[in-house]
Amino acid sequence: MAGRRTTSWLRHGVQCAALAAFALAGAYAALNGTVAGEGVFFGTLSSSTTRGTLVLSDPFAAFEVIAASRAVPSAGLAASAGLIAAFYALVRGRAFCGWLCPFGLVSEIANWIGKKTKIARGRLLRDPLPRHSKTVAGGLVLAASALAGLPVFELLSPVAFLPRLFAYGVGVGLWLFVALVAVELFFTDRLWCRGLCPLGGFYEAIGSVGLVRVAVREGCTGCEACKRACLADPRILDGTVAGTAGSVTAGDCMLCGRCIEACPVRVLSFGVGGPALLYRKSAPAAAPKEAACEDDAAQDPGDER
Amino acid sequence: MELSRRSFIKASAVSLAVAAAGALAGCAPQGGAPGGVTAAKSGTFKSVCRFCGTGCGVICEVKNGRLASVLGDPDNASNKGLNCIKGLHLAKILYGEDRLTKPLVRDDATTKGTTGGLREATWEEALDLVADKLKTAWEADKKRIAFWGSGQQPITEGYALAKFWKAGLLSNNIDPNARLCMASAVVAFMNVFQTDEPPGSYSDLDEADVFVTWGANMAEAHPVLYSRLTARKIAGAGVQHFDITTLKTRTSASADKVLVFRPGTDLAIANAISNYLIQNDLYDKQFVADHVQFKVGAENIGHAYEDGYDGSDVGKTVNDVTPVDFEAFAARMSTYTLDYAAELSGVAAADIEELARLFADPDKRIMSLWTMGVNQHTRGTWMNHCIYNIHLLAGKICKPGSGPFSLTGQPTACGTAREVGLFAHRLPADLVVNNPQHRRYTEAVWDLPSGYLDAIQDPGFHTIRIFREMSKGNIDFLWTASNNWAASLPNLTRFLGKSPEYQGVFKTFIVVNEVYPTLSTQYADVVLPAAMWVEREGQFGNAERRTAVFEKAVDPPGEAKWDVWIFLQVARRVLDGTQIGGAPAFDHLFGFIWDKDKDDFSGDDREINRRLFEEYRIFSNPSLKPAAAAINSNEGGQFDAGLKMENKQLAPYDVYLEHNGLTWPVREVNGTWLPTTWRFADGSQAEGFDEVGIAAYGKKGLAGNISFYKSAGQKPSAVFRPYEAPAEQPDDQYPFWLCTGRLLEQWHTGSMTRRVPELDRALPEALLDMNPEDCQRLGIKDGDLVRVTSRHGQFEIKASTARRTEPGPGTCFAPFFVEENLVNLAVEDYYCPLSKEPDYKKTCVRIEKA
Amino acid sequence: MSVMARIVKVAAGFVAGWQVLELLGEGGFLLRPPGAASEADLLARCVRCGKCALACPYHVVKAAPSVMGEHAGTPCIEAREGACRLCEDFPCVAACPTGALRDIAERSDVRMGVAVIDRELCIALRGMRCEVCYRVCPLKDEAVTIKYSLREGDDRHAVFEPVIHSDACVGCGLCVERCVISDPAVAIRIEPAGASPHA
Repeated sequence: MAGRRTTSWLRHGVQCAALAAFALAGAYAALNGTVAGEGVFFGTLSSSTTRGTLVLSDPFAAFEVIAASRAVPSAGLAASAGLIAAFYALVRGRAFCGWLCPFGLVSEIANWIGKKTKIARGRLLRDPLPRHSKTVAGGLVLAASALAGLPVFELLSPVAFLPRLFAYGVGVGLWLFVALVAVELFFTDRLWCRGLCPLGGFYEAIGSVGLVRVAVREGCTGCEACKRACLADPRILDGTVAGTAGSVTAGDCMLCGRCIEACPVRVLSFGVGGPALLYRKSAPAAAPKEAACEDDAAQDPGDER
Repeated sequence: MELSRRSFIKASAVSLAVAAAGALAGCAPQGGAPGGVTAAKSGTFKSVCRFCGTGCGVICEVKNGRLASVLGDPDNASNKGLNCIKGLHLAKILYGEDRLTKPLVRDDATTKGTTGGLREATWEEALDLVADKLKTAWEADKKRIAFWGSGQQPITEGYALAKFWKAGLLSNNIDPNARLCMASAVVAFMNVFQTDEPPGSYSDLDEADVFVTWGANMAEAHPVLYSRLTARKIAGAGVQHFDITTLKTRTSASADKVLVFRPGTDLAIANAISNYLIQNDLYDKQFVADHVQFKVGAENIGHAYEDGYDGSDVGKTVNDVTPVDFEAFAARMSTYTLDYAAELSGVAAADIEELARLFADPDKRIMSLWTMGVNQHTRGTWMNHCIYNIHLLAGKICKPGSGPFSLTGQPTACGTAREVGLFAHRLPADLVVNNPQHRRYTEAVWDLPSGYLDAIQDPGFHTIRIFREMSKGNIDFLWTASNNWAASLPNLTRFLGKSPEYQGVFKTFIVVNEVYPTLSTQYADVVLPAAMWVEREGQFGNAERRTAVFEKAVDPPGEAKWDVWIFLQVARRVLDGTQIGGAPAFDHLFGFIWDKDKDDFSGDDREINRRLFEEYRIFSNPSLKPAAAAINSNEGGQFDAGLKMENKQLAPYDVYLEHNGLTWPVREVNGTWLPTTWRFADGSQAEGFDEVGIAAYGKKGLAGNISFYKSAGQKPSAVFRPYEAPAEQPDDQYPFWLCTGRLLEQWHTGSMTRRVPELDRALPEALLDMNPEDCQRLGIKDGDLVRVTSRHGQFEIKASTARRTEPGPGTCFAPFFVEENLVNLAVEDYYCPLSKEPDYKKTCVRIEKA
Repeated sequence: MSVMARIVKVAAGFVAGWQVLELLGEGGFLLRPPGAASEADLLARCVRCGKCALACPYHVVKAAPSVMGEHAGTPCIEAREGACRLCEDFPCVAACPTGALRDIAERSDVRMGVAVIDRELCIALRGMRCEVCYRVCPLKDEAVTIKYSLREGDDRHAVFEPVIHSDACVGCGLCVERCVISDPAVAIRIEPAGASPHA
């Protein structure tokens, strides 16, 4: 039913618009010449400039630079990165992953193609990677940056790959990107996004304080369709399913809204709120019934969980 | 010494040859490529550089019918194996990708001004069409045809053309692009000396004590000559260089003293020096007494704002002069005090005085050098006069190392346009159409019936007049060769029909002889592919009167033809049915080189060139033809005096083939032909002095052992010329002076040099040099696109503060080699009333960010 | 797991690993845009955002390719293809978010490198009238001057020798872009600031 997929359409729209913005900026620069100061928008995910004045930069990259250069960041960097960090801290860190990340978009497309053409082969790893493995990855990247004296992740980031391709005409880290996309085509783990991406780990770390959450109200049947639909770690929905949490609080939540769309009894929704939402208790759930779950929310045909 | 020098230079040349050949290795001819040549000729050929008036000697190396490399000729005394980077890349100018190889015809005149609209045609069709149009227009009204020739056409080509147009068509509507560069110098030469071209030579550069460059960027425009000047500055003791200029250039960068003057006020500075000599009694009294007569001329002559200027009351009297005595001359000059000149020009009085003192010093040998800054000037003829006045008063002329040297810009403006007489008012060898004796002499040389040339006794249209008339629809047929009028004329907004009132260009039938597509071919109705440079044998006459032959080295590509062949093919058709003295006109004029049955030349390249040259040199060798000799000597007494035509004597053609050119007058002495390095200076002919000329026509024992035997009364004229303001002055609407000119890497409109990858790389764009303060004031940054607007038109160009030239506040400079930044759309077309040469240096403009 | 899956797994792992190793390898010496304080400083701060390349109105700032190892994605200029034009407002420096390019108020602050003339190849040294490098230099008469001397074995011509002044030359590379000599090599090159031991 079209109405139920509104969030997904909106989300995909934003993902595409973001990528398009970078593509257009690159094309304009290539065709037209002068961009800085006169152009409406130019840059990549690492940093962009709008209308010559609003500079936004990747906060994780900023931390890498601080580590690598072992110096206080410039005021400009602190401001441009701080803006983004503050925004996502306020909203929810991994909303970036769900709504903006070009690699996320590519992964979703790859997963979809893999499923549709049936070349997807099930999971790559037997067990999922440990919780917060991304954040650990992020920490490792920062340590490595300090040691190597360069922002290690920026060197090969598959996240920044496409915008850089548009900006520079050159794709840096092409093979890593190809390898990861191949993984998404053939396997169903969302390996990079769920378990490896240090940028995701950073956003996960600042994500838990975000004000926008997926909230649950009375009526959960325990069918766990939401967990099957979850693009992050399904374990973040344990609390809401169990009724012990009033919303998904984990920093890992991408606000992708698939759980909301998958829920057959529509007890999930986006909410904005403070502590009250955190700790709302509800009555214990009724015994799980066999519910008619929406099939299109099913993520992985070969799921052996 | 000889050997080691040669081998050193040769060794350098080898590595350059490797570089050049290596670069061309990739261009080996493929079958069917436009540059593909069938003649598997290999060898080396002597030649002269295609570019500036310096005339560097070069050697062409040919492999498999293709020019493999061109290198400076170490045996050529002018350049001793050196070139500038234009000359260094001569091998590539023939092989641009879009070389024209077939005749092209435009069927729809509304496509003029676009890159399309031309279709291929056979020579038959093209020639018939051209001849038909020319003949129709010619027979209807001779005033409605015109030929625009060039100071880049080789001598025999210009000669054949002049003969066709003047004697065949009896038309004076033929003028060269040299009108735009050297006319002021020519008119002044004739006014002062009654003979054209400098009396000195390049050797003077080796001996001068002081060099004065007047508005001349020699470092970029005459590179190898400037190297010679610089060597003298290093080698000589205390040699000084004064650069008198409206904006600093790379020449200023190596000058000892730079005098930056307000545009137009150079007249006052020169007069102030003359006045200094007179007032302080420091002029060469003996020299003046023996050699100088004084005159004053027409003044307050205004400017050619209106088309009818030439025929106006003022315009008709601009050439009037009145003899005066020295005192009267001195009185007129007396207002040009140092202070007055300083106030007018902005140059410090002390600086002018310093230079004046040097002129006053009898021991200082001083060379004045000038080109376009002086000539392309609404008082250009006058400015030439003012420089001559100084040198005549100081007696610094016709002496080794000392003299006024008018530099020529084009490779053969001297040799062809001027010496052959491709001007609206001229006949060959300095003769003029409005002089009956000159006409009789020409008739004698060309075997024309006496009085035949009276039909052309009135001068025709000069260049600006031709194009002004064309813009109004008054020219039905225009033919051009070896030039690019649609890019190089001033006021292109008018001449290219960009304003509604001047649409004539679309109605005129225009024929263009060309080698590459240019802006001019975009306006042509017929494009005829021509042979280029060493694709035929030719001759150039450079700035120091040196006539040199360049040999044919390769065949022209495709169906391209030698211009002379094209002229004669058209002439044959047009003159069909016309008679001269009872015989068919074409046979009479060209039978000596044309085979009617073959409908082609009656000899090879070398032979035809020789025959043409041999006929041409009769003009300066009247002894070769009794009828001519009679008029030259005024045997019958019907004229006022003899002509002394030998003052420009040329040697037999074969003699030139044995040398790297010879400076005329060339004299036969005991069976050897000897050049003249210093005209009018007595001494041994073998050492380059004018021994034979003075013996024949001059007087010995005069001051400085000099005899101006060609001048009226054997005395050159010092004509007083006042300062008069330029045609435009800066105001609120147009506050800047725009100066235009050439830079080292690119030649003229760039049609040849822009197609050489190395030169295009070295200078790929035209920039407007601006003063940094002006830029700041106008909010213009280095690299910004700006719009330059004058009273005549506008163009866009990128601004630059990189100081290639360094304009002062209120001035700017742009080169004219890039079609996309067509600076001549804005340049004024007001011309010197005497020489009709337009002023490319002083258009007033405003500049805005685009 | 199927054979296919295994193959893909191994291949992907291999490719990914190889990429990482390649990118962490050594590069060469690159000509940087204006504002790079040192190679180490640039490498630490550059997040490969691409804004300097986008901001350059002449499109001469390029990304170093992957083969340049740890330099991959950082901005560099290939002077022969297109040199830095020292724009008055230095849009590349203005665009840099992390200060990898910084502290350029005017042209004399720039330290990209120094031009070096190849004395074997330069034709001006043999008396040919070239000096294109001198005439195109935005800092002519400071970064490059002409030294005049007599031409050896020639009594009437001079040599116009371009002389680079390393204290004033900022290394923009316009001389390299414009030099007429290309065979066997360009007669002038930029020694990048990063190549110096003090970088």
